[in-house]
Amino acid sequence: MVGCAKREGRGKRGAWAAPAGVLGGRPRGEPLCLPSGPQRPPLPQLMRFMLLFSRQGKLRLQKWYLATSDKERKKMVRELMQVVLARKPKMCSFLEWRDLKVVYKRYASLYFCCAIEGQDNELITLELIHRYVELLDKYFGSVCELDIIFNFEKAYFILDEFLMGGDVQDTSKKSVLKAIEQADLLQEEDESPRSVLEEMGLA
Amino acid sequence: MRGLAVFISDIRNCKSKEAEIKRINKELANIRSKFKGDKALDGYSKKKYVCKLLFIFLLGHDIDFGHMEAVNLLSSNRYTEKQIGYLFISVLVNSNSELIRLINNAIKNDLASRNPTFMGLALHCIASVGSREMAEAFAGEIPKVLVAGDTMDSVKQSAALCLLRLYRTSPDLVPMGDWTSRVVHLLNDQHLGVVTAATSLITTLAQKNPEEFKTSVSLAVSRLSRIVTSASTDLQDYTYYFVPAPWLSVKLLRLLQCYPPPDPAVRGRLTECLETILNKAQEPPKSKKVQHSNAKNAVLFEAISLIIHHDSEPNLLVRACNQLGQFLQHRETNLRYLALESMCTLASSEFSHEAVKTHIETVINALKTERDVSVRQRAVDLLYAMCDRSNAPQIVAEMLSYLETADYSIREEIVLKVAILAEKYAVDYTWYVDTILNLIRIAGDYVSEEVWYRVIQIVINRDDVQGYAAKTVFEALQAPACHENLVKVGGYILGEFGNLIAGDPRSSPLIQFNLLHSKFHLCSVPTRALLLSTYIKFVNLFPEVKPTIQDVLRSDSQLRNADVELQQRAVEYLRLSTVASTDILATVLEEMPPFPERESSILAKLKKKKGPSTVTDLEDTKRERSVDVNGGPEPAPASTSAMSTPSPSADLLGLGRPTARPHPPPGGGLLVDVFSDSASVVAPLAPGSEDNFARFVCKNNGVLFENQLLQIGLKSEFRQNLGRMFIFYGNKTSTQFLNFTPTLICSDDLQPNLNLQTKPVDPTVEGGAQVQQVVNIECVSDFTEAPVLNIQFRYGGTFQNVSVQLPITLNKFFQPTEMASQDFFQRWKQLSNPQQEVQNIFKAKHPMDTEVTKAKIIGFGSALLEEVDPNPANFVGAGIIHTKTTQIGCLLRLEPNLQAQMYRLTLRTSKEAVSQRLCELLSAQF
Repeated sequence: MVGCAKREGRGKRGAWAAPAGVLGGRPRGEPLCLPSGPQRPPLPQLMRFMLLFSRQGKLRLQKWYLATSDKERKKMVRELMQVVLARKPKMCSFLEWRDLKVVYKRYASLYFCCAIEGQDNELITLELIHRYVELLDKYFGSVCELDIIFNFEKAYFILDEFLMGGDVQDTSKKSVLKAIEQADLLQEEDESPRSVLEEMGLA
Repeated sequence: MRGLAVFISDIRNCKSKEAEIKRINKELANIRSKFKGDKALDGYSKKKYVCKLLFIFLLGHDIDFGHMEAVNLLSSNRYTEKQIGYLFISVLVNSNSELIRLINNAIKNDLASRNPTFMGLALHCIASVGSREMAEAFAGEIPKVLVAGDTMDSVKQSAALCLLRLYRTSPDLVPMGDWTSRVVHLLNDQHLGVVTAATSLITTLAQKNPEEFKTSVSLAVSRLSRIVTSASTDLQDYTYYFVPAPWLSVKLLRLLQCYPPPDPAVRGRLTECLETILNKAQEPPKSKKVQHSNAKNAVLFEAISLIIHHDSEPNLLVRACNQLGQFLQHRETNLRYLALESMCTLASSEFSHEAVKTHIETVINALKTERDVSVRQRAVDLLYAMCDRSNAPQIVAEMLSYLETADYSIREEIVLKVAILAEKYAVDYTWYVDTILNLIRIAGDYVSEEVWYRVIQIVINRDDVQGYAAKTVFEALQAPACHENLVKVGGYILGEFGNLIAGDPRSSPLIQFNLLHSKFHLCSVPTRALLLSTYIKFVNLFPEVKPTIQDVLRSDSQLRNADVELQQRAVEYLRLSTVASTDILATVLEEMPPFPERESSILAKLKKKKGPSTVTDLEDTKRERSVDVNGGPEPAPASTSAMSTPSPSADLLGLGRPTARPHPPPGGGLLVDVFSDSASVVAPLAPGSEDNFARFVCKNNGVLFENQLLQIGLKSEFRQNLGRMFIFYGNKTSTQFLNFTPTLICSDDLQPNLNLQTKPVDPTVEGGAQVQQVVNIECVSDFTEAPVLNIQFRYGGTFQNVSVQLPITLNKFFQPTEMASQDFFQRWKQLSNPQQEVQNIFKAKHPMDTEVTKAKIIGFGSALLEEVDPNPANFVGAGIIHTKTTQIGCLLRLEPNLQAQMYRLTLRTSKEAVSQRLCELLSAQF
């Protein structure tokens, strides 16, 4: 683990054979810095991630609020899906998983799953999921899994209007939908009609 | 985007994984050629392809191109193109610094655009990526956006949360300033969305700077009061299923948990709010929808958290407890779960402990009937928390009977809890012994070493229970199949106290021996080793069985056992039994002395499992409450040490090897070349690292680095050109660190001059534990830079990467040289070549204290020469820097000027670079 290994050939290894002698023994006593106990201040709610997946274990949407490597993400998704899908209906919507608390709820064929920290408020997270479902429902008009598959970018936009950095930005359904509708209006202005051929990239 | 829809349905129509991959590869090839093609793509096509790439990524495939096109979209004037660009960037966060610069540029433009939708997108992107580079670029800008008078409400909301995110990742980069007081006043904002976002930000800031945000308390209370008293329609769209602003209420209650109970005036108002919330819980629901009750109860649970946090209003605490009591029997599983969880904390308050205890039957019932293991787990936790001397027998009995059917996942924890409660509240130690033996009988596989060590410690230390213990283990061993842990306990106890029951013909020495020996062949090597020790103890206790035992020891299966430990014991014990006189035997094999009292090894184990904070709190508060705790083996105050106690030797004679062996270092301690390809990305130096580094120039021990997870301490010593540094890594959390890899990095310039060697540490660092690493240091030649210590590990699900400068500086290889005034000036003159002298004149950064200065010069490593300089206010020093190749004489002179609060430091050495470096290092100290 040492940076200078490259020059090991030149360095005299023998000199290190008995460093204890050179230095006159080890420092006495206990290690000087004992770790102090962890403190758990009531930080504001911060979601770690949100996942949407189907009963068949297909991931439909993922949003990570804390930098996590791609590999780790995949592992966590796989593991958590397994745990949640194995649970029976009527079981409690909260479970402890790794050092996190997972709040989940199933809507038709889709599981909505949020990971929060231990001392966060579980019930409000459950309602946060519900509010997001309501927003999707209102936007798509009785939303179904297919809407989310085909319009995944919209699902992300709606989520982003509602949550930011893992915290609720605005809980008013009206404000969120207004923002999304405005964006859609802009989109329509943007998009001049195109021929089918153009769409297919053939023109 | 039709093309996208077509592609998605193609993917959905794929019959197999292979077909899907084929379709995706085709699409990737197509997109790649489009991006590479000569014809410039229009914004729409770019958007479409980027969106397809995003879809492919979300399917779980790797995407290694298209980032540039996404970045291009950011600067589009069309909203939807920009939006897709930002979405791509925030989903595929990439720390590629080249791109980050381009992204930052685009964000900068959008922030300055004054177009609220563009600003919103930009802020979102900052919050999503949240990297340090972004914090560096925007942490100064966002507060201005947040408090500017003309900022739109929606942008304010985004700015508040964006700033919160940056503050969490890089608090040092967010400047405090005038804006902070204005942020507090956002709690009064007209727009509830703004208040909601701002409250989160304020809570986080208040955590670190409570004084600065103190005014937020009264503002939060009055805001809360307005919300809880409002009619359900007052807040319009912020009312959620007839509950006024539940999210904001929860956040405000959480903000208040950053502070102690407020002043009387505000406190009265807050108490009213809390009472109103508790009252509302009793009112009939305004809607049958579960959303209504969830939102209402979310606020209620948060209010109860605040009540518990303040822990000062007995009335509120008891009301909270009654409310939770109702929830314990609620038909909603979620509420039962939360009530059990919340009651756990209530149990540790002296005001509500008794009230919690009244629910014992309900909780026991939950343990027996709940269908969800996570709820049962909460019930176990609560029983543990509410246990005291009055109900311990009942609770322990219930936990034991639950253990027979408990889920495997929670058995070990229940075993630990039962063992702790049995010990802590034992009035009668026979009960304690029975309980532990039951524990071993029911769940022997889950009884860890610590548990059976502890029962032996207690039996040895309390002579009133020894006879009973011997009798009970003897009886328990009669069972045809008993757990190996029982054999261990039985072997140890009979070896010590078998004589106490030997009078009974049913348990005569020979019967005891035969009973133990009947289990011998079924046991593992460590247990057999323990039994051999029991046998030699028997030789001393019962001379009449000596021949029998000698026969056993003499048998080939012992004397020639393949296991070296067993063989050695057999040989030594046999020899001991033949050559030693009775007196010597009696002395050597004397009864074990009492164990020194210390923290219970089981408690330490539970802490390790559950995190020190939870257990410690519980224990401490309980200790305060009940003065009648057991005098004897009471655990030492838990706060004195978070380290687990060394286990008592499992070996009666203490001849054996240590029970716990450190893991052999993986890879056989081979040196790893960090410059090879496998070297992973090294984090930039941690904030504050420079300051810490400077502190170590004149001292060798202390804390080098500390954050919420990790503490790094140093202890080092140097002699001539060699040194040794002990690095202590402390895990401050309750969760283990995985893949813990500290790496020492020397730059190319430093490498030839400084030789560092160390061994890898164990890649797993348990919660609350500390590991040590030794670095051997050799200074080959003088050097300027410092090595970097990079630490990478996984904590929870996340990858942590920390870099700090390791304070190995040239002056560490100083040897002080005493010399007289005349010698000093003679040498001073010899070093008069202009390259040999380096001088620095600088302003004092610390108070100019003579004694402190002296201490620093000595700490720096040179000798402090008194009565050398004609001016007594000046300091002169001399020493020799030892490197492997040469020795460099150094002279220094420090002239303070009190009036100007300045110093002049002059260094003269035979080597320019050394003068330069020493001057630099020492100047930073004053």
